[in-house]
Amino acid sequence: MQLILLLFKLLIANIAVGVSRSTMCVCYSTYQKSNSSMVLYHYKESSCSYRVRIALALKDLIKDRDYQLKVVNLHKKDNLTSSFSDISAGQKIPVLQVDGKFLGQTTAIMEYLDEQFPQVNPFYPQDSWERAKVKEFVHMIVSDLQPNQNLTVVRNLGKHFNAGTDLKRSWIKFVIENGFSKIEKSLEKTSGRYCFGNTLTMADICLVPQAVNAVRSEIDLNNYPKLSKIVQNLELIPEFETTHPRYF
Amino acid sequence: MAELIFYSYWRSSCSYRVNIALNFKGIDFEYRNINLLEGAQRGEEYGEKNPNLTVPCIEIDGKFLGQSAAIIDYLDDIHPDNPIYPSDSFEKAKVKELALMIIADIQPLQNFRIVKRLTEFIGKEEYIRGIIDEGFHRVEKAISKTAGEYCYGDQITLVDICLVPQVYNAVRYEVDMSQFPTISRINETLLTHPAFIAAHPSNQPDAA
Repeated sequence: MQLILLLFKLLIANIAVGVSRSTMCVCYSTYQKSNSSMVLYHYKESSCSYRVRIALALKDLIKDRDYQLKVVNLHKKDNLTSSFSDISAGQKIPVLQVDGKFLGQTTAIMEYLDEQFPQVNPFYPQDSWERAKVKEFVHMIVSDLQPNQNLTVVRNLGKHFNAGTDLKRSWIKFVIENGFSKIEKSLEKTSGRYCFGNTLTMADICLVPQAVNAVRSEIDLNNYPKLSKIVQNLELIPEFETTHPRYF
Repeated sequence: MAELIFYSYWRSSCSYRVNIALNFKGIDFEYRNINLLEGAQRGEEYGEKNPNLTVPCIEIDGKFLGQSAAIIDYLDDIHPDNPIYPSDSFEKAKVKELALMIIADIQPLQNFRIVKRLTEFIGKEEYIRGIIDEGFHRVEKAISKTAGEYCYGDQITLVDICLVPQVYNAVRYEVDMSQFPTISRINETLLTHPAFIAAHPSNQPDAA
């Protein structure tokens, strides 16, 4: 009886979370302009989407009642529909809709938010050179690493070259491990509690989602001790935790 | 400004972008070639400087900065003349979005290091042609909405700086450029600009 009551309570709790999520999260296969002032088109397994969710949370925009999330299911190829191509010429997520206009590409979105809300958790140092060094790190993930292990690339390996599951997995592992070994070396020079000293930057926003991808690919983060410790520190920050893919 | 050293490989499209930006902004620099084919980027001398083991890289006052996007933005920060972005915040973001369709979505998938590794895995090089072809379809669609004389209206921006090196690669991998009239037209126009001519791979000290 006690067990049944406990299970019942757990069920109610889960339904409550599901309901509160579902008021924010709408799943569309056709996309129409929303009246909300800010809409994020995203997907739970997209590390790029996770970056922007973190950024929005850090800029304190998620509490805005007008903020809405729309799911673009990459596995179901929602991004390849003609209605989505009106939203994103590149047919990629995430896309941020702001006052009726659309903006894609994570660093373009995040830097735009940083310029609109410079006082709230700035994403870059003020100094030009230090800002450039953070961007250098960001692009090691955003340009060098993530693009080579994303869903499109992995699909292409199967489509054009008959790569089976094992080969696809090996490729993803290679790309991430190769990238992480360079990142670890870079962190040995720059890190404190976070990627750059003890101040949160864009580097941290990009690192955590990539670490989630790595763990999903069964890569042992302990092989990268600095990286691993920083990710643990970051996961304690509410804005990184509440936007984690597990909640979407 | 203190002397700027530019580490480059003549045929690296990322180096080509930075080269264009340096010329476009009229910044003096010393060109030092890093021969990727000889693995010079892994050498003790260079590898210590740039642990990312890539070109391009700039050195100012003994400090090093890699990643073309970071370098170009830094140059734009310290040399605001001949800006590479519109002044409006949203338009600036749209220019970044277009440029990233090349920087993040095309070039990384076809760069030398990745191709080498991919062909070890799967042994086929026409993958590269396919990557650029697919990427350029998206870019053509996007810039046909925004283009004037250049990719974004009538001002040369970061998109143009990224486009020309990617077209160079496309031609090298025998992508059928007749599919992309807007890209082709803009590329032809940009190739007559002095900064783009000065930065062209065939005009580099280490050109083969």
